[in-house]
Amino acid sequence: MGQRLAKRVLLLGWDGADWQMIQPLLDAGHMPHLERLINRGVMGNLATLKPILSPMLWTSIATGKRADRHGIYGFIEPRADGQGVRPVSCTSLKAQTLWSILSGREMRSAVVGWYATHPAGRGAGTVVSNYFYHAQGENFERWAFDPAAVAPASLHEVMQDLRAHPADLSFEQIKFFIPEAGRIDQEKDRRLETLARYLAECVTVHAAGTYLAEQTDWDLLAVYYDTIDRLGHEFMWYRAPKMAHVSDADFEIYRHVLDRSYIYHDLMLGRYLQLTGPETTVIIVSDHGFFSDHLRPTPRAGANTPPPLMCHRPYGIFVAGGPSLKRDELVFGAFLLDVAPTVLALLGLPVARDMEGRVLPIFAVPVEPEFIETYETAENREETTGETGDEDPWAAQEALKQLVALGYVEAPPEDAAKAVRMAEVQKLANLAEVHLAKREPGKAAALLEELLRRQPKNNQAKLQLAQCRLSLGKIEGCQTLVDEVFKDEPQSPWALNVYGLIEFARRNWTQALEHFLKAAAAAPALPQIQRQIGATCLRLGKLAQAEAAYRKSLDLEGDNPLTYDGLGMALYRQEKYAEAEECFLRSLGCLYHQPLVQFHLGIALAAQGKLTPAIQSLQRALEFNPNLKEAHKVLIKVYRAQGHEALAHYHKTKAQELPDQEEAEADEA
Amino acid sequence: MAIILVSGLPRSGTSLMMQMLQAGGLDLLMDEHRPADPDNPRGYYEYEPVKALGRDNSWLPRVEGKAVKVVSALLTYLPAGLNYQIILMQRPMAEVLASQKQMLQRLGRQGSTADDQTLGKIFGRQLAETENWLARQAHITVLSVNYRDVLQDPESSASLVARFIGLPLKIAEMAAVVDPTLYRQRQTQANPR
Repeated sequence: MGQRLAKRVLLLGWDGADWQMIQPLLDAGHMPHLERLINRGVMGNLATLKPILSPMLWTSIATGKRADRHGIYGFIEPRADGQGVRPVSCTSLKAQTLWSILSGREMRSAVVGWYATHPAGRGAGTVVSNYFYHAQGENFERWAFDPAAVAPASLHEVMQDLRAHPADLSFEQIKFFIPEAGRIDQEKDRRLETLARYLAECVTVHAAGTYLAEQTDWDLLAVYYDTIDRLGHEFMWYRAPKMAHVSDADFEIYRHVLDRSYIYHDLMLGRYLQLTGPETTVIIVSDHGFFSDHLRPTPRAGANTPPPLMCHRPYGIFVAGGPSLKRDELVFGAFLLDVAPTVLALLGLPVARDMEGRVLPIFAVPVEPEFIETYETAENREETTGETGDEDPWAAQEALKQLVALGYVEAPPEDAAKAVRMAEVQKLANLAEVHLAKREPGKAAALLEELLRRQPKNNQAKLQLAQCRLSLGKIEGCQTLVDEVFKDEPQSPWALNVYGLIEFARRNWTQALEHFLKAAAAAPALPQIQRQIGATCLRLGKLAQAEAAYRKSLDLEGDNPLTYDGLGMALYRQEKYAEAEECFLRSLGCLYHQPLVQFHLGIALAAQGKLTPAIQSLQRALEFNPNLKEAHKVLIKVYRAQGHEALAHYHKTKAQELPDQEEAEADEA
Repeated sequence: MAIILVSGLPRSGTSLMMQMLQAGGLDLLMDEHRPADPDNPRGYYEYEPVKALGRDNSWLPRVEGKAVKVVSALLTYLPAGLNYQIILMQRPMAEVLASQKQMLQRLGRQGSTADDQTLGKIFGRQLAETENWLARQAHITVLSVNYRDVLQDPESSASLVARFIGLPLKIAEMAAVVDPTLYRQRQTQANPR
């Protein structure tokens, strides 16, 4: 065991929490407890993963692994008996979570409300599952307690009484969020009921979390709140500035809900800080952000709210405060997969090499964590598997299909079978996106091909498969698919985008630009198409046009590491080195592990004569990618300029060993 | 009186065991819903309502003193309050899957899309979990019978079954129904389950 740097760790999950909401509230003094935590610790963005779906993301936070390795593929999974679908459960987990790791090391953990923690009691410490807090029935008395939602059984009695039913909330409590609540005609307007439901769930989670914080012994307490995200999806549209589609009356009544929900979360944080004391390291994370300004999407025709996924910003929050941490500092480039390794390092536990993130540099004294190969041993697996009936539902589904086809078991009812088919399709689509984000086009292609067998008219899948084939060098196969989509949806900006990517892959920059410009004309609000325009203009040497396109992309989307990098290169090539440096730093601030951007930063620094920081960036680029020949070549020049011939020679040798490399490819949509 | 169940994975020799019990003088609960075919030239010995055991077990009391075939995946749906004697057929997984594949091809149906190795692991795990569950049920006794043993020494297997059930079955008649030529998808001994 390594050096323990935290007496204990409180990990709070605030789904959908965003600095763009929090910062003004901090500045106005409305979140004093968070302010105190930040002042004694660190804060920064936390980059999300694709697809931006909360069950997948929160499980990535808990395991340090992406969905293809942790087994949670979306919101739903088939029931093991094939009779429909259910919310994802821990029986689908393929990776050890923080709480199961601690249990395996005889440390004490408690988790409340986290996705995929039901059923409780699978050998992972104290668990109050994500099935615990959803109220049923018309009042508390009619709300049956599910014993499988809480483990150990000794907690059943107390936890039952800690639940809050929406009917228990007072009007005064609601008015904190909606001061004008008295104006609502609740016969016609169900939004108050919705707020009450989410608020009651929040209160229930908080009651369970604070009870465990105060009354039990723990090394890690992890508590998940979905309230900010849930309220965001219902009420963000009413926040100032008023959106065009919102009526004046609705704006007046509902405009305060989101801000008040953050203030409420700060109050809850205050209670935790009071209960846990200054010796506890407190970490707050969110799985993604939430657009709250001019980038809020508008609902489509006939809908009250926009599609949920369009509302999520790719950057959530990371805050950590505790005795061994830096104070009042920023952390750059953190992403979701860094949380688990960092928590393990805090508790003196080894970090697994098969986790996909890093230990964040948040410690006052730099830490050298211990490593092990993996926590995924057969022994660990056995401890966390359940009894008969709790098996992996996806595996059970395969067995059921075989038995039904052979005629030994009756087929499930058609509505149940349909629901299961939908869950399977979603799994394929979500996993494909995971592999696309990991730049594994071969694996993504296999899943997309299966998806298209089930849904032959799925144009989004066709275009994704087209991009996979392009990445794999199968241009003809790519063209065929895009032609099919274009025939079905003439002027589809997505199809035009892929036509542009095909020409880009062929290095036909002019033709590529034509397609991208047509795509942009069809869909002017798509930031990724502006980014493609920027990348193509760079190839054509149209630097001012490239700069304009990248800036437009940022206006449309906000922070994006690829866009900042592209803009940085456009500025660099116009010899605006200081501005370029700023862009590369912003890119790395979004996402740290980008060898090419580290290299770009290095050359921008070198161009300004900042040789020592240039060397650091170039070396970092080589740490991430030792085969980056251009980084070696620049280091030759920089070391020579500093008179370090031996080091220059070393990098010359390294560069000579490497083949010449292509320019960075156009990024994928 | 106990309910006698013949169980196992599909294509593990359950139909053969049902034939043996019938030949031995035991009454069976079955219907003609699935008649004999090239995969089971002598018939399936099935009772159609078994397939819906998960939602309707009202027919079970009718089985007392008789034998009925229930696929192993459905055993955990057996209600308490009755006593069961289960003859659980065991056969190498590779043979089971090969036989299932052939049957599906003949039926023109698509089963699982998982490859054999994956499906074998899934079935193996499910069977092991079911056996663990059965071992913990006071009202259930289980006799595991190896399909290969039945074919190689039918008389000994018949005696074993008769002793397990505790009824005076006709051993010679039971052994006589075993026809090794119907042992298809045979794998070598080096290719275990």
